[in-house]
Amino acid sequence: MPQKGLWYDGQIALERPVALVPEPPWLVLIDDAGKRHPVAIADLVRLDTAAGRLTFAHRSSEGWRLLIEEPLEPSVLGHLPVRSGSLTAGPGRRTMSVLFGLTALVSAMAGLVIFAPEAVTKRMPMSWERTLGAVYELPIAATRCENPNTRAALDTMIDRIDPEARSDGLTLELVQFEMANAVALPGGRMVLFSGLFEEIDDADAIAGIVAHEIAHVRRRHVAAAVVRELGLGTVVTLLGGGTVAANAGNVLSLNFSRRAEAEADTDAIAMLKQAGIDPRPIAEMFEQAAKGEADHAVSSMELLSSHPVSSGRARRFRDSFDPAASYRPSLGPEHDAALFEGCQATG
Amino acid sequence: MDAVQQWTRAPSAARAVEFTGSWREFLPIAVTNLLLTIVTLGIYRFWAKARVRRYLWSRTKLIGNELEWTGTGGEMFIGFLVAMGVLIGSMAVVFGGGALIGGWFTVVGMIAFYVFVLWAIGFAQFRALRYRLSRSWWRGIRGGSDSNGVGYGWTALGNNFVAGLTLGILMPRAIVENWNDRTRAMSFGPHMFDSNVDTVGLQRRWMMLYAVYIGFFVMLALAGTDPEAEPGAVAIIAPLVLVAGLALVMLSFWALFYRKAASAFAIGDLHAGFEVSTAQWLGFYAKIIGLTIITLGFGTLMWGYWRWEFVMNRLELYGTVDLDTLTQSETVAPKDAEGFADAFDIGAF
Repeated sequence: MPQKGLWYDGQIALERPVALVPEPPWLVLIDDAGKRHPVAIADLVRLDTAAGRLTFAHRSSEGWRLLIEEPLEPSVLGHLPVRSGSLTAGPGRRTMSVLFGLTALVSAMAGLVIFAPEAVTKRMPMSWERTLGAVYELPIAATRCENPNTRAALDTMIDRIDPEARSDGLTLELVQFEMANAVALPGGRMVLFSGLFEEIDDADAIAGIVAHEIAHVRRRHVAAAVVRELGLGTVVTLLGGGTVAANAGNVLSLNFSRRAEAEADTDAIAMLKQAGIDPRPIAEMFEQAAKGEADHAVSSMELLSSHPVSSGRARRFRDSFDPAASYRPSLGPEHDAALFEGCQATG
Repeated sequence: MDAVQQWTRAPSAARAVEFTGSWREFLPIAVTNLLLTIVTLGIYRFWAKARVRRYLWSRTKLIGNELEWTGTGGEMFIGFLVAMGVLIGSMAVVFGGGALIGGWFTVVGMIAFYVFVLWAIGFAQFRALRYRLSRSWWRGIRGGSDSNGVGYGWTALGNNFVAGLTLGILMPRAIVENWNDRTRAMSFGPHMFDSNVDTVGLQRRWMMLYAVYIGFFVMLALAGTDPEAEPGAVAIIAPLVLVAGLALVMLSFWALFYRKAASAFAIGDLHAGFEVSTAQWLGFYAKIIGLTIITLGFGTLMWGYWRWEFVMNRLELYGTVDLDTLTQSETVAPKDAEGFADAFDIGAF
């Protein structure tokens, strides 16, 4: 029994009952008068319609529709397109898909950067970060206060804490800046400000700070903070070699997340322990700072602003002290003196 | 071959307009549309609209045959971009030219731009209607219009301007004239639409708007003018009464308008009817607002569907369609989709 269908030719609203006879590559529609209307099967496009019925359109004839109601004859249907298609031209659809893909990609990236900067930036190549770090060369060079003795002291200290740091491209520099702080810049650049040495007189406390900054660098917290604070746009500009001077100052106010600070403390404690450096001086520094905070006094320790201080932090360092361990000073007497004289000697 | 299908007012006959959709089919479409629109920062809404229409059209039968929507999201998106480009471009010309040439250019430019926007609102409505008809198919035949809508934009602007001069009192006339002009320019297959709506009854309902406003100020005056006094109950109730009153008057105005518009509509030998009273509209809106509250706002996804269902279940067609003369439309299928309507956010389907 031939498959029956209803045919609209797109020229007139008449509905023509037809019998469908497949004669590949043609499908022949035979109307009530017995007239044959062959149509190329390749021109047929199946449309989505209500259940219980199939609708086919013609690629080059607008309004042409062939409706096939159940029951369906498998012998005829076997020759017809099975999957739903579209009458829209291919390239248009492809362009749209690309547009969609791009939008989805951008949204996904924006989402990642907003909600998980650390997860994203951990996968960013270190060379990108170095490009960012190079931006700070000018301000650092202008204020750097080093002589061969301080250089040797800084190298000795960083080698004590993390023997692989220098070969991994991490650098530690000292600049003339009246602020008691230390920063980790993109690209593994760590900078100690001379103001720090007016607040602290124990090289082991400085070692604790350096260990903390090394941890920030190693865990890629810096890149995450840059991305979060400056925004992805700035990072792209920086990587493209755009104007950045205006943004350089922003890094001084980079804030790490609380989780990042806790991670850095954990690593710093481990590093101090490995190096055999006494954790009590850095604990003491945090305790003093925490007291300042509790008294609502304006502390000269600007470290507070970028490194949230709590007695809890001090306690973690304090608790890591092992009475049975044999601690050695982080620097020998001559290096110790060179470090603390650093800026006065050159300035 | 039975080329003539006849539909009469006889209550036993099957309805000429049938809606066979179900909310269970529609809800997944609405939800995926919403999610994709969010993920694509709103760009998907054009494709969402196309998908909704494809569904609603395919579930609507006129005289035994389903409608088919063939418009695409891509063409609506491009139409929107073009319209936005024209708007932004002309603003850039006005302000940029003002900066280069001088203040007078900005003044003249702003006035020209303002007139252009007022013209474009009518133009956009016309183009949107023409586009929808050109993408609506029934038995392999589509609709359209031979007019490009430019002239309509000016007549509509003129009608609205006259209404504005009379402080809105002649607004019903503008609405009715514009509706008739727009409808008469449309066609389906070879047959032109006809529409002869008049303002009888509409003007009276429109004037009720003014009555509500006057009532509001009278209430405020009676509540007292002492600024030191604590605001009384009247000061709290009066604004609510105002809003409810305006809504009710507008509802009764549009209810009558659509009843008149349907019965004044004809295409060939086919006439329409849409006997829905203000109370029925009120019941409909109460229902959808209630359902929206119960579903914690998710009901808003269904508003378009409910409205379509409500209208299609009440729309009537009478008369005969001569299928032997219903040949393919020779109008040009426009490419600009609903760009301007989208740019001005003129909504509906």
